[in-house]
Order: sequence, then C-alpha cells, then structure tokens
Amino acid sequence: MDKQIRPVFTLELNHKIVPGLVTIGKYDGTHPCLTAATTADKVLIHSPHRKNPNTVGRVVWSESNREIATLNINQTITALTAGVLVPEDDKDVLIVGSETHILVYHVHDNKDVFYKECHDGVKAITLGGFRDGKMPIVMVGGNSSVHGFDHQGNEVFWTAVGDVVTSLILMDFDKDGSNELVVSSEDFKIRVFKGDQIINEQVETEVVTGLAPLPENRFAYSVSNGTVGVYDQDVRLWRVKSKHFAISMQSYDLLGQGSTQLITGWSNGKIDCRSIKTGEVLFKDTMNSGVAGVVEGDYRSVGKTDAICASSEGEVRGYTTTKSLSTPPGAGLEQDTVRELLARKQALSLELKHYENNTKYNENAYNQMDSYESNGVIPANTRLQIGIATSDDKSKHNHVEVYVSTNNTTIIKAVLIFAEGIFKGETHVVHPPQNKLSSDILIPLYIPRDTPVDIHIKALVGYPNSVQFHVFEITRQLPRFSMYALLTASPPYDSFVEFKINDRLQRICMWLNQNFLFPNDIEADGTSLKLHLKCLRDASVLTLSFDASGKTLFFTENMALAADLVQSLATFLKIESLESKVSFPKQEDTLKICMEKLGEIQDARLRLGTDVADRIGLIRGLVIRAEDCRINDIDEMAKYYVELDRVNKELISSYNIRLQNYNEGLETMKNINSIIQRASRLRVGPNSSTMINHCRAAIKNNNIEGLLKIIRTGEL
Amino acid sequence: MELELSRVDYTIVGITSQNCLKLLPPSASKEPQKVAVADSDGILQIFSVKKEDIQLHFKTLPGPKISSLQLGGAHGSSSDKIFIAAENEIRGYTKKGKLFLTFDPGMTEPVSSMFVLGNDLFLCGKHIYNHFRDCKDVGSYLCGDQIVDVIAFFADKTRRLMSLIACEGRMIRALEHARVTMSMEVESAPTLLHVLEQDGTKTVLFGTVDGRIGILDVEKLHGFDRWLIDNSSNSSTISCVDSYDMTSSGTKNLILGRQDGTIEVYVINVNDNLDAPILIYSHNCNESVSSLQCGVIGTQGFDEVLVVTYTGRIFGLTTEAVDKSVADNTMGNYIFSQDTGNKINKLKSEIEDLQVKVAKEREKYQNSTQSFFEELSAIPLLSVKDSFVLSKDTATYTLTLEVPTAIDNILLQSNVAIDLLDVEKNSAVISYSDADHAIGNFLLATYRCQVNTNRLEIKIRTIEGQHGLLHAYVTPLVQPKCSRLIQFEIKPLSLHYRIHKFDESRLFNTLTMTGTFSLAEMHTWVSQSLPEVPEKPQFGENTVLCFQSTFFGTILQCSYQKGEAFFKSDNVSTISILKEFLTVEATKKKIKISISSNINDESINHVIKLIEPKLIKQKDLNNDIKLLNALNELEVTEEENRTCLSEKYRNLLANEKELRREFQSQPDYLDRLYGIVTDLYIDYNKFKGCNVKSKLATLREILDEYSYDALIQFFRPELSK
Repeated sequence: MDKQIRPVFTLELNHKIVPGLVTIGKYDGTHPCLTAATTADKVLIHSPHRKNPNTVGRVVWSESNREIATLNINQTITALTAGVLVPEDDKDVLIVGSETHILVYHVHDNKDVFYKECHDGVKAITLGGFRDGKMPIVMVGGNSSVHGFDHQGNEVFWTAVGDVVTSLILMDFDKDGSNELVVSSEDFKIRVFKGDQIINEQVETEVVTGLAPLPENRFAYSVSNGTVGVYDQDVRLWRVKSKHFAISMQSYDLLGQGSTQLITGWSNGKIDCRSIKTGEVLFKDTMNSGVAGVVEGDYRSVGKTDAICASSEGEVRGYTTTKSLSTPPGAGLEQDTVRELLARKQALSLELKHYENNTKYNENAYNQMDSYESNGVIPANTRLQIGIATSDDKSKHNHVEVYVSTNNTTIIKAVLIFAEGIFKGETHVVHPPQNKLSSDILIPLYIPRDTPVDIHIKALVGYPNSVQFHVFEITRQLPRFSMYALLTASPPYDSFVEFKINDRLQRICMWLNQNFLFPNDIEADGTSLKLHLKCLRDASVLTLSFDASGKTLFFTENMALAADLVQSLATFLKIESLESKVSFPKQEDTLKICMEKLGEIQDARLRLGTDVADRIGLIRGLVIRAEDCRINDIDEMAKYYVELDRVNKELISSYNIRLQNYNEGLETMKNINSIIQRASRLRVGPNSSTMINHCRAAIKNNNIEGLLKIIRTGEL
Repeated sequence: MELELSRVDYTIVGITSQNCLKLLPPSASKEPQKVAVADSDGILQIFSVKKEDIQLHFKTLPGPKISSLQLGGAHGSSSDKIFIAAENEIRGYTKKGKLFLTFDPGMTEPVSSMFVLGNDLFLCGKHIYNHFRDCKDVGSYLCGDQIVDVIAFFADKTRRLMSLIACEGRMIRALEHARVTMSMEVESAPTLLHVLEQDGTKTVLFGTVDGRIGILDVEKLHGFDRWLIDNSSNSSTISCVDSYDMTSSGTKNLILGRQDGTIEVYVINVNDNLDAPILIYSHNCNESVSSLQCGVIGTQGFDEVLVVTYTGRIFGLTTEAVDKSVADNTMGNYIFSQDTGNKINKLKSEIEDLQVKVAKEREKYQNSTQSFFEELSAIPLLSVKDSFVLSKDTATYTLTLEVPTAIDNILLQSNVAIDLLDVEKNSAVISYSDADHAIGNFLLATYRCQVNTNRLEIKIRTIEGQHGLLHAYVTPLVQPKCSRLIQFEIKPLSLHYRIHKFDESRLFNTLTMTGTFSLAEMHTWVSQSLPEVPEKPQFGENTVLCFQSTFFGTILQCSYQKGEAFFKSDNVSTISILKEFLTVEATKKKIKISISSNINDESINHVIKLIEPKLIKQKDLNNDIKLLNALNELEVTEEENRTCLSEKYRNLLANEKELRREFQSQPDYLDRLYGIVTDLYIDYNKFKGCNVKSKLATLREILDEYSYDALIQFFRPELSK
C-alpha cells in the first residue's frame, strides 16, 4: 500500500515528549491546544490559535516559539488529561498527575481548581460522568486503588484494584446509557466496574498498558507484549501482535467510512488505521521517531476534527478524513487484488503439486527406497499422540507434563509450543540432541498463574537424518487450575471460605472436571465430596469439600486461590449473588499489622514534615548570614558555610528517610488493598460491593476490628 | 525520484533461477515484445500480453530444472533463438516453439551458467568452463573456484573473442581460447557480469554479494576500475542487472534487482568517474528478484521493466499510468478498469478450479493417513533459497531464508553461542526459548511471521574461536505442513574473508604442523575453520590461501601440502584458534601430528595499534552518549538555554541523533572489542604457558582507562624491566 493519505499539517514542537502523556484540551472553551508532558518534567501547551499573549502566572511562554507555553511541575509527570470538570464552565481544565499529587488547573483563568495529595500515587487519570451522577468526576488510578474526585476535590468514589493501575476509561460498557469504569492493572487484568460492583473481568497474557473507548460500546486495549485488540463487551473481536508496542489508541474516521476506525501509534513510529470490527489494516504511515500520542481535535479551525499524532521527538502530524483517495475494504486497489489472487493461486498450485508428488511417489515407492529417510518420507498412517497430566508426586519437578509420541519408528526432531503468558516469550522449544532422538518426548510446563491456557503444539516428525520433517499440529486447552495434583489426605486447616450453593453435586463434578487436570473424571457418589489437592507451585495443600445440602468449604491458606475458585465456580453455576463466611487467620494478622504500621507511618510522616520545615528555616538564616559575612567578615563566612553544608546533609538524609517512609506506606497500603480486594472476590454480586464500601468506611475510621469482621462475615 | 513507474502483475510460474527471463526482440520498434521464461519445473513458456491478458504462445512439458535461458542467433540476424540449459542438456527453440537443437555437451557437472554469442556457446558448471563453436568443443578450463557467471564479447580494439568468468573467490578471469589471459581480483565476491553497450563502446560491469556494482576495465587497465554504485544504505546482493533507456534521454539507465526484493533504476555515466550515479526509482516487492529485463510488454509505446522473482511472480513496472481510472471517477469510489476486471474474473475462476482439485486431493491424502496399508507420506523437498553472508562493515552474518509461499514460522537452533540482532525490515515476532546448554542448545529461537511473509532476514553475530552448526527449520503455511531443515556452519574463524594480496611486511606469528595427513585432509580442516575456501585444493603444488579479519584487519596465510602445513598471522588469537581446532580434528581422526609455534612478541604491539582507532572511537562514542544522557537531564532542550553551554556540548546536542543511531546500530560493540583484547591476552599468555585468569580484572581496568603504553606494558611486562 502506498501512502494514500498525506498529513494535512505537520509541525515541530522541539521538545521531547514522554510517550503516552499527550492530550488535547480547549482551555478557552473553543480552541483546542495540544498538551503533552516533556522529558524535562514540564507540561507543554501548544496553542496555535492564541489571541492574547499576555497571560501570566504558572504558565511560562517560550521566547523562541510564540505558540508554546510550558508549565513547570518539577515532579515526574505520570498522567495527563484535559476536559470539562467545573460545572457551569465550558472551559476545559488540565489535570496533571505526579507521583504523589494531582493538580487540577484551570489554564485560562490561571488558577488551581484543586491540588490534592494522593497517598496511593497517581498512575492514570480519566475524566467523565460515572454512575447516575450528572457531574463529571476525576478518576485517579493509583498503586492499588481507584479514587474518584468531584470538582472540589472531595472523594466521591473508592475501590480496591489489587495491583498497580495502568489505564482507566469511562464508557458505557453494558449499553445501559450510563458510564462504567474500565480499569486495567499490572496483574494482567481488565476489570469493569458498574458503581462499586465488578461486572466483568478479562485476563490478558501480559500487563495491559492502555485502554481506549470506541463507539458502539466497544473498547480497545494494548498489552506490553505488543498486542492490540478490541472488546465488544466481554467478547474479544480480534487481536494482533507485533514486535513493537502500542503507545496510544484513538478512534477516528480517517477513511470517511461513516464509522470510525482505530488509529494506533506504535513505539517504532508506525501509525496504523485498522477496522474496528476485524482489525484489518486499512492505512499506515511512519513517523521519524516513536509515537508519543494520538489525539483528536479541530486543529485547523475548520469546524472538523483531525487526528493528531505526536512523536516522542516533538514532531506533530495531523491527518484528516480523506474520502476521495481511500478505498473501501473489499475493493482494494485492483493491482493489489491481482497480486493477492496470484499469491493464492500460487499457494494452491504448490499444495496440489505436493499431493501429486505424493501419489507419484507412492506408485513407485519400491524403486525409491534410497532417499526414504533423508527426504522425510514417513508412513502415511503416522499419528501423533498427546497426553497431558500433572506430574507424579515422586518426581521432584512440579510441572504439568505434556507427553508427545508417534505411533511408529519415526522420531520427533523438535517440539514447538506456542502459548501466551506462560513462557518468557511466546514459545517453548524442545530440541533434543541428535543422539537422544526418540519417538516420544516428555515436556514439563510450568504454569505461573491459574488461568486457562491454549497451547498450540507443533511437532516435527521424521527420521534422525532427515532434512525435511512433517509438522503435526495440535491445539489443547489447559484448564484453569492445572497446577494441582490429587492427594489422598491432607491435614485440616483453619483457613477456609464457607458458603452455600443450591446446585446438585453432579454439576459441581462437571465444574471440577472442566477446571482441573485429574487422571480420571471425578464422579459424585453419595451425599458429599471431598478432594485433597496439592499445589505444584509451592506444595501448599488445598481441600475442597462439597455437601449435598449445598454447604461448600474450600480449605487453603491462599486467599487469592480461594477467591479464584469461588469466582470460577460462581461463573460456572451462574450464581449472581453469594455471601460467604471467611477465615484466614494469617491474612488477618497481616492486615492487623499493616493497619497499625500505616498509622505509625502517617504519624512519622507528619513529624518528618515539621522537621523539614524547621531545617529549611535554619538554612534560610544561614545563607543570609554567610552572605553577610562575605561583605563584613570574610573569615566567619567559612564557618557558616560549613554549618550550611551540615544542615544540607541532614536535610538530604531526612529526605531519604521520608522517601523510605513514603514507599513503605505505599507498600502497606497496597497490601491492605489487595487483601480487601481478595476478600471481596470471595463474595459474588452486590455482596462484594457492599463489602468494599464497608471496608472503606472502616479504614477511614481506623477501625481494625471492624475491618476484620467485615472480611470474615461481609457485614459490619 | 524522477521516474514514476506503476506495478502491473502478470502471472506466476514455478521457482526461477538467475538468467531465466528474456524478452524476444520486437518486430518493430516499441512494439510489444514476447516474454520467454523458464522455471525450475523445467517448463519454458513464451507469452505476450494483450489488454493485460496473458497470451500463451507455447509451453514445454515439465522436465529437469532449467538453470539458464539465453537468446542467440546467427551473426547479422536478430537473436530470437531461445537456448535453455537444463542439467546436462542444451536445447534450442525458435520463437514459434519449434525445437531445433538438442545438444549434450558431455560435461561431468550440470550446467549452471551459459552464454550464447553467434555460433559460440559458453557453458559453465561449478568448476568447468567449456567453449563450443557450432556444437564442437573448442576448449575447456578447470577452475579451482566456483564459477558463478560467464559472458563473452568481442573486444572493442582487438576484435578478439573474449570471455569472462566470475568466480566466487573474489576473482574475475578473462579467457581467450580457453586459456586464462587475465585474473582480475575484486574486493568482494561477484555474482554476475553484464556488458553495457553505449555508443558503440562496451563496458563490463559486475555485481557483488554486498550489493555493489563495479566497472571492470578489461582493455586498458586489465583489472578493476572503480565502483559504479557503492550504496552503503542497501547492501543486499545484486541478483540481476539490465541497461536500458527508461527515461528516453538517449543514454542507458542501469536497472538493478536485488535479493531483498529492491528494484532500482539509476542514471549513470560510465565514462566519467566524477559523475555520480543518481537513483531515480526504487521499488521493493519483498521477494528476491531473480531476473529482470526492460522492453515494451504491456502496451505499445510504453517502456517497462519486467521482473521475475524467485517465487515465480512476473510483474512489470511500467511507465504507463495505471491509476488512470481514478481521474475520471468523481465519486471517489473505485471501479475496476475493464481489462483488469476481466483478468480478475479469470483468475478467480482459475482459483475456484484449483480449489476443487485441491479439496479432492486433500481428502485423498487424509484418507491415506487413515489406511492400514503401507502407504507413504512423501512431500517433495520444499525449495528454500538461503544465503548466509558475512557483511564486512559490521562483522555480522546476514541470514536470509525465502520460500515460494508464506512462512508460518522459523525455528533457529544453534549449538554454539551466537547473538541475533534485530533487523528493521523484519516484522516477524521473535521469541527466545530457554536453552539448555548441557544438551547442546545454545540458542533456541522462533520467528512467527506476519501474514504474507515469504522472506526473512536475520542478522547474526558470531564469536571467533567457537564453532558449531546453526539449524534453521523453515515451516511454510502450505498444507500438508512440512518443515525444511537448513544447516549453516559457524566456523571457528568465521569473521575472516579471503584476500589475494598478502602484506608480507607485517610481523608474524607462525604455526607449523607436520604429520601423516594427506592434502585432502588438511584442505578439509582448513575449509572447516575458514569461510570462502575453494572446494578443491590446488593439486600438485603448495596450496596458499590468504585471509583477512573483518573486525581487526589482521591477516592470515595458510600454505599446506601433503604432510606439512604452515600458517602465519599477525594475530596471536588467530593462531591459537587454529592450533586448537587442528589439534582436536587430528585427534578425532587419530592422526599423529607435531605442532610448533613461534610467537613474535612485537606482533602484539602491531595488533593493538590496529584495534586502537576502533577502541578509541567506541570509547568516545560511549562517553558522548553518557554526556548526552546527562545533558538531557539538564533540561537544555530549548534553544535559549543552549547558548550558555560550551561549544563541545552544543555540538554534541546538534549531532545527537547521529550519535545515537551509530551507538544503536552496533550495540555492545565496545564490549565486543574488550572481549577480543581479553582473548588476545589469554591466547598470548597461553603460548607462554601462563594462566592469567586472575589478571583479567586488571586488564579491564586498563582498558577502561585506555592508554597504549599501559596496555602494552600489561601485555609485555618484560619490556619495562
């Protein structure tokens, strides 16, 4: 494809831009300004339509380029967004997130709307309407939670996420007319919150780095392994993987099709435009350096928005809907069609040639025995057999074992397993040495997380000295809880989750057989069922106990595992609401310790703050005195500077202490949040969201006992 | 770019080799010409194009692979006779398809290249050159190197018939009456020869594996004249060349086809060496080009470059505007032009027929896998075009793999430590798998290709001193799925290349080996340890081969005969690697040998002097990058702040992009240099019988604080005493 669409404008900002931190805002209510974070911790505002250049205040106008203004933040900028927040004001405000604070700044009026400390850090920000509220709220994703603020900085929403938030969007997920919150986090998950309740959860194979809302209740996501895809509610429409990473995604109708396409900016500078429904590439272009962001705005004041791409070197290109030169999908350029058809013809003729040759070979088989092995000729009835099992207790390595073998004397030269998320890359290759080739191979696999995995096995079958091999392809799905092996008995535990379900044991057996790797299918006999399992990762024990009355108990010390089991079972049995009794003494202890620690840390933080204020006062005095001495008494000056140096060193060391204190606080906070999050996942439906709200209240009041009670019973 | 060409796809044939496509001379000027093309299925076909539709004139039955197609004719008449070489047979056809000649030259090797000039026929196998006149043998020549191409012409001045053969060992030989009259050394291995005729004078051009075109002055200088095209940005092997006046300017343009699929058109002036060639058109078709010729094909009066790729696609790059249908279509929607529409429909119906046939065969094949009879599953060997070329500038190997249909995945396995470098052109997703060194897997990597990738290019960095095999398993998408294994040898002295001039003035370390080995055995050992070694040793006399290292520029000379071998090099490491390798190989064969070596201490100084510029340059570059990183921290990105910086820093910032690119193009280059100096130190001391493991940390410190004297003193402490 040649460049059918040329940029309608290009410009150079001459600043280096942090990838991902690009937004656009109409700070005066009408004219859009491209806004980006620079590598020098500044926010750059490019306003080509500025009328009155005499704005003063925080914003510093550049001398060399009259269109560029910068805003000094002096802290690493982690998130940037713009939009209308203040009621009865049509001007956009700029929201800047740094490691610890969030600044909501009114660019036009040059005033801070609010400036607030976020203990949990700021990793992602979005702005929009949520729940039934008419007011827009600022959603701030931190290290383990999401906070929502109104225009006055009051916290109006809180939920625990369990890991570092990477991206947030507000969109209508379930077609009910009001926005849901979609959150991606570093635990590879995409969660959808409707109010306080999680209504959907998707697990990807790597850290999800970005989300973008698309029309028709769809959203696009990008993953740190180079994948980009689109979800239509909980159905993934498509995904593609490349060796580069998607930095920014934007929906824009570039080709004038009446509906929008997905514009993706990549780390290598590539920009591509894909069909939202199929992922087919309709247009691509390349910038000279990595893309930092793609936004949409009316940048030429023509009454129509353009797609604007900014690169990390400060190059900006604008593209607009280009209908006349574009080609609707399906038609394509005629020469491309011819080329494609020729390629298909070629592939088909080659395949035909292979079969013809095969027939011919079989007719003369007896005359051609000499090249038999080296050419990779194998008996036609060669078959590949495969078995998957959890490894036996006696063996030391604790893996899921895949056993591959052929049914005759042919050997397996190599096995390639393609799967996502369980290997370092996307493949695992077994290539035995020449002298150890045999017709069967045992491949141990380590599954790091409890998620179902599709494994695509390609086995190269032939003879030891062949130069060509037949490829046998098999696809299998490993169940969610593959890494658990059966035991005969297990010691009793005091850590458990208990709940009641109204379903037959047979149905539960079905769930068990679908989600575990057992040597034989489990069948329900009698009124109760008890299973003892060993986790192959850490040798911990799990006991599942079901009773005909519906009473169910999962004994395990691993709260996250219990939560996964509950969620999986609830989805299988289509349970919409579930309350459970929980007892995890170890986690409770941790929580107690964490809560106490958090209190201490907060006290220490206050103390340290005053300390710093003291010292700064001291320094001020010392500087003045020292400079005084320069004029009056030069000998004394040295003394003051030595003193200054000492105070300065103290200040630095106290800063380090503060930093450590802050990091500890963050870590503790994360621990607490993740326990709460797991506890909420031990319940299903409204019960889990009420629990979260209770927890938030308990933490605010520092009510440790209450918190523990909520976790145990789900109620206050 | 001044030239605008548009691509028109015509048809597909089987897999093609170099020199397999020719245009028959037109009946009148600018009339459409007929196309003759031959493929590896042994099919020769002649077609012409009418209204974008292929008109087949004749097609032969499949047979052995056709390696060359040439046109010829009696002197004076137009050369419209078609000659094809298939294995050991030459056949001649008239343009009507009548077979008028079948000729068995009686050569022991299959014919790989051919040239026809009047009544003279030149045939070359791998090592044999044969000259026939009127099908009578008039002379032959046995060449030690592998012959890659042959041409013949009548010299401008002497009017004598002269033939040239291009040999892989960086040599082009001129023959008269089957005797070598001249041996012309060139800087890199030639791939083809071409005679450019312009205003009655002939210029001999040759293409090289590293993507350059050179001029050979046969008449005056008797050797290499200059590089005509020396394009550092594209170093992909030249696979075909044509000269034709594409721009209607009266002078011929040079049209190149490269292995990476690039087709380029240049404006050239061969007579004036100050006149640099200008690139006026470039197109990449993503499949290696095997042959191209210019003429009038599709539409009368429009010049066109007709290209055939390795996979057998035939397309033209025409001066006629193809997108003409856009202009008179105001709606913006695209409507197929009538001709193309017909073509597409025809193709579609062809595909449907094929699909039915394939479905039937597929079922038959599936059934056979279920049967209990002793049937076999035999898939013909997939043809894979591969090359593994050392690039001199970067001291890395470029591995290219190409198959006729789309690739699904490629598995690379190596039993020796090698690094894979990222290639920008290559869009495949690479994934490394954990490799267990204990069972000989030092590298296990898979490349999963994006749709419609026929060709993959991989850059590989080897380490001298380690040798082994690199296996590539290529799996195309075509059913029934097969994987072809291709092996590449990683030789112990992999970063050396052959040279013909040996600088005797350097200081040498020597290695002498005597024993009961034969010449053939020694030759095998040498060819196992060094690249570009000719297949056969020079019988009778002493075999002498010279090599140069791409990394250092140090040289090596091997001279050997039965029972005795002598190596000399200015680099101690090279000698050490050879010694180790030869000892192991001889022991394997249980051959008694005695080895003696003589180390010249002064050669150390010489080698260090050779590395010094590279080392200093890399150290400076590393420092510059560190400084740049620091400068970026200073927030001096804005113009106004720059004025307060010193000039040095300002220069750094101004050249930032360039420096970073250079740094990125050669990652870990400095570490590689350090490693080589460390090896040199270890090897040098090994010859002295010392183990210096404990001193390596000190060496590293000295390298970090590089000074020539300190380094020499460290290597040779005895000097200071």
